[in-house]
Amino acid sequence: MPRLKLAFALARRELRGSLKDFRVFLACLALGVAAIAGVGSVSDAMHTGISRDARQLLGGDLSIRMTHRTMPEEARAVLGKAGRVSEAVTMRAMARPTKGERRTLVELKAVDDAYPLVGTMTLAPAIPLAEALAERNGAMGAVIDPSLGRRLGVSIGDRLRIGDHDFEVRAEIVKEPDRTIRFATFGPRVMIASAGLPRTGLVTEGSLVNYHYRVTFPKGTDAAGWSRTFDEAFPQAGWRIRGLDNAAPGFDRFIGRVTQFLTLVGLTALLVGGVGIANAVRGFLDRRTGTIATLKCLGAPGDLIFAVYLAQVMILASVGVLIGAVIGAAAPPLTAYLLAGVFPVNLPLGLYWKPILIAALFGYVTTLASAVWPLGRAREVRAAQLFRALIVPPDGWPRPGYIALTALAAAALALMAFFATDDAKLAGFFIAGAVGVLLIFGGGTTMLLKLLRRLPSPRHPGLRLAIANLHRPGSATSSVVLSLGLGLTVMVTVAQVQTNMAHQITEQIPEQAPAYFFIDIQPHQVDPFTRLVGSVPGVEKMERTPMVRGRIVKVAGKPVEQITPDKDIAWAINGDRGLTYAARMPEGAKIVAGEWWPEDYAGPPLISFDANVARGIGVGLGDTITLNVLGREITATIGNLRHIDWATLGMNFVFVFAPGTLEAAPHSVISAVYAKPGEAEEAVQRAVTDAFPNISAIRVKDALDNANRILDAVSMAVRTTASVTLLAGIFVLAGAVATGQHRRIHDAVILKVLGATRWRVVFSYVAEYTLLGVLTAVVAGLVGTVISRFIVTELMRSEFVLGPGAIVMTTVISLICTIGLGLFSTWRALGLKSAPLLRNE
Amino acid sequence: MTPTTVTPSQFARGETRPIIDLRDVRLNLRSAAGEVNILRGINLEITAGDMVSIVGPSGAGKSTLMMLVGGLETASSGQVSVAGRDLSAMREDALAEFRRDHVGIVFQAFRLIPTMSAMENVAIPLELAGEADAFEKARESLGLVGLAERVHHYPDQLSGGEQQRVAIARAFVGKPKILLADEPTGNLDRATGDDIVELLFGLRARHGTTLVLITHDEGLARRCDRMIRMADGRIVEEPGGAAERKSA
Repeated sequence: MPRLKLAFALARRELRGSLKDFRVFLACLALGVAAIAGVGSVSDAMHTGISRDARQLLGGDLSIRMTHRTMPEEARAVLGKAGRVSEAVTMRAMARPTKGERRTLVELKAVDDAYPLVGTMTLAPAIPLAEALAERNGAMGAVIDPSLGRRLGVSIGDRLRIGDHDFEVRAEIVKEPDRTIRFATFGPRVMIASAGLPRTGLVTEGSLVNYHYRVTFPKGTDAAGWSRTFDEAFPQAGWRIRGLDNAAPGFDRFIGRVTQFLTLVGLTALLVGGVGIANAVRGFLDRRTGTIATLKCLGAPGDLIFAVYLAQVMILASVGVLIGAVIGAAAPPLTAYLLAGVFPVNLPLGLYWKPILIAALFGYVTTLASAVWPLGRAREVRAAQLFRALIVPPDGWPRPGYIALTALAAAALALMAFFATDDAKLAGFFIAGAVGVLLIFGGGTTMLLKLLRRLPSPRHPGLRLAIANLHRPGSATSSVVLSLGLGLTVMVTVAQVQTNMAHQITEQIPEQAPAYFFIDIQPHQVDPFTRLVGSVPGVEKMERTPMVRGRIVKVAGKPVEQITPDKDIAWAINGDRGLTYAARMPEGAKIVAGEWWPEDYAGPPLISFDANVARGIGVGLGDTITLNVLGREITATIGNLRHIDWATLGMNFVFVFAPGTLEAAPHSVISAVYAKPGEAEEAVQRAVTDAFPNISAIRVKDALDNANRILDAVSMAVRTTASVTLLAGIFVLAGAVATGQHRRIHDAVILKVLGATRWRVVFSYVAEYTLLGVLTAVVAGLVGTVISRFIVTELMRSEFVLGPGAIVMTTVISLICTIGLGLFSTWRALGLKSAPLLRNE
Repeated sequence: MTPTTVTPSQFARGETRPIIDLRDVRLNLRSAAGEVNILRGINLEITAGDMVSIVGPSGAGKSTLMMLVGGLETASSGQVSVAGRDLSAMREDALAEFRRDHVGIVFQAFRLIPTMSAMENVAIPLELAGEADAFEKARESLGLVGLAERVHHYPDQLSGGEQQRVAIARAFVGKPKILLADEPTGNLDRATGDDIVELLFGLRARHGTTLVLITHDEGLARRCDRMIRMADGRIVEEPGGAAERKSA
């Protein structure tokens, strides 16, 4: 204990005036901690906001959704007795102004008088919802999303035709209390009264309609218990019940994914920052070699030396962690300000301790992992050097105990990454990637430097000095290439993947994709629809298939709630899926296991299943899948597995039934129409929606444009967040440049004494920083391209297209960083007079 | 083997046991150019309380000899006994504690810790020894070197002479048996250097410390009881210092 007290006392004294040596250390640590604490705090704030506003988002204490059909009378009666109930119907429909030719797909919502049970509907002008939706002069009212008004050129007072009825637009929607964020909406919202829905004629057997029942219970009701009892009382109902703990599952999942991704970005920044921390500690200890030797000479044992400097580093780490934590804690109010109105809930402001403490722990462990090695080496300083003019820091490896401690801290960091991301696979990839990239960068740089060393020396002395500076012992080249290169690699990877995805969306997919999907075609409309579409000039091909919605309830006899699917295929079992049936194998289908059934198959229910989904939920040929279709449970055996290429945007179904099971179920038909771009596309849409008001047209080009916009936004967001990593790299570079400043001043003075003009010296430094920038860009460009190629060819299963823009961008950023920062510091070196420095030497 | 030289002052104190005893000490170092023989068989006995100066050209092995005595360097062969301890058998941390308890060192370049005040610099050896009144003793020690008014000054706020006074106060504060001084006036002007020498000799006499002094200044060297001349890693001549001259 007295030894520890002494260590802290000496550390405190040593801190005097050493803060400036730790600027890069503090910046790196604060950045990483701020990123992790900020992401965690915002995520916690969002989750808190969601659970605080859960009733509003859910529309009540409980929400029950049924597809295709209304709730059975008996169940509805039970529900009515439980509390206040509100009913709403949602579906897709075509809307067009009564004046003009424009038309568009909308998300229609028909609500009863009780809506909304929780929260308030805000309209512009501010009139009550009931008044806005009521019938007036023979027309029912509608309130619309402002974007629909702009798209169709309709304003308040205009009429909007939906199905067979002309609705009068009475107001624009400012806030719909139970609407959560959705990134892939098919169209803007139109809200009408339930009484108006039958007048549209859109709801027929098999049409894709969702019925929502919301209930608010009297105070003191055990909502979860009631929900369980209700569900058990109607086992065949096939509904989806959500309680307050699951008010916005999609949004929750979205936040979870984004948090995971951003936490990894924060960890990467901390990893890069770790290089800066290690460099800063090493640089600081190198400058303290004389002090350490003096302490040893005065009788300080090695472990005390280690403890003194470890205490000092940890005290400074606390400052860095504190700065990071304060910035991280400020993230929720900042996010709330920046994204006001975008999120469905207001972010509750407050201090979120858990993510801040986790980030602080990350900060401390990263500091340990980065600092123990140089600290362990520092205790090996030879006190005998005090008798010599030149005191040099020790090199080589520290004692085994310090190596073990470093390994332990690194292992703790890896373990924490597992817990922080809550996804073993993702964390595993991250850790393996981090180790791999470190090795690749380390190995790549060493190889390039070796090559540089073996090249014949240039005759130009400035160039010779520049190259020698890059590979001289103790040069910061490796750490700069690693840290700056890591940020640039992320940039290259994102840019290359984006180029490839954009290429696919804008060039590859449209070549083979249909122009329109028509949905909700009634069986009796199939023939006239086919004739009509066939008569439109420019239509090249039409496919159609029956479709009914259904939901997986059991997998191989096990209730679906007990299945933990792979995260990337959870979508397939989470909600309703389209089901179809076919006697013949669909065109282009690729069977990967089993065989397609005979056309006249008439045995027990068989399905053809998506091979990828089957793998994700752990089933194979011969296993059974039980689906709830319109309240009936159907158990089918997997007869074959197909590989589905979703990128063709053709009519692909996860489930295809063999003949004999679904034919009798009420269903609609979906059709994909391929037409020549331009007039033919417009003509076919007009012809179909004019003739069949109940059929909705989904324009593939709009969906692709939407996807491209989302891709642009996501890429921009990823690049912005990845710039945190780049910033950490720039900090490390700045640190390396600052550490080399003394040597550079020394070199500049010697060169000037030997007769070099200032411009010659500048040339040498520019050459050095240019080489460093190019070296970093080459390694980052290569690694980034290899990673993106792997993502595109192996994960996206697409052809890789090299985007030269990304390489150019990387090189430019790299050169701006190295030359800019390098010259900034060199300018000072050049301005100094030689004489005082030579005297001091 | 070099015979033990007993000076009259030692006789007067009745001290004849060597506090520093080096027997056939050799130090060879490997370098890129091959093996370099730094010390080539040194035999030296210094009795407690004695003042010994070492002179010789650069590269003669003077500083290395001092490092061996301070436990800062390990001999390749031979025996190094200091204050009754065989240094060649001791590990690094034991050597650090040995220095803390028995050896004070004054360097040519002062070697003060720049981030610590004069008093903190002087207190370190006592703090390392776990002494509770380290700061009071440090203040006293600074008083003895004439810096009572500058205890809170940092090294860069002191002149060269004042910095060396702090270093001397630090060397003496733990009342070491042996004081090693490596060119203590080498970085100072003549007048300041003379002051420092007087201070050093005065404190040594006051504490009865054994002094080993490396210097290029033959005049200063001759003020010691013994003067040893080194060249090429060997003791080439021990012409004697003040004692010999006095007896002559």
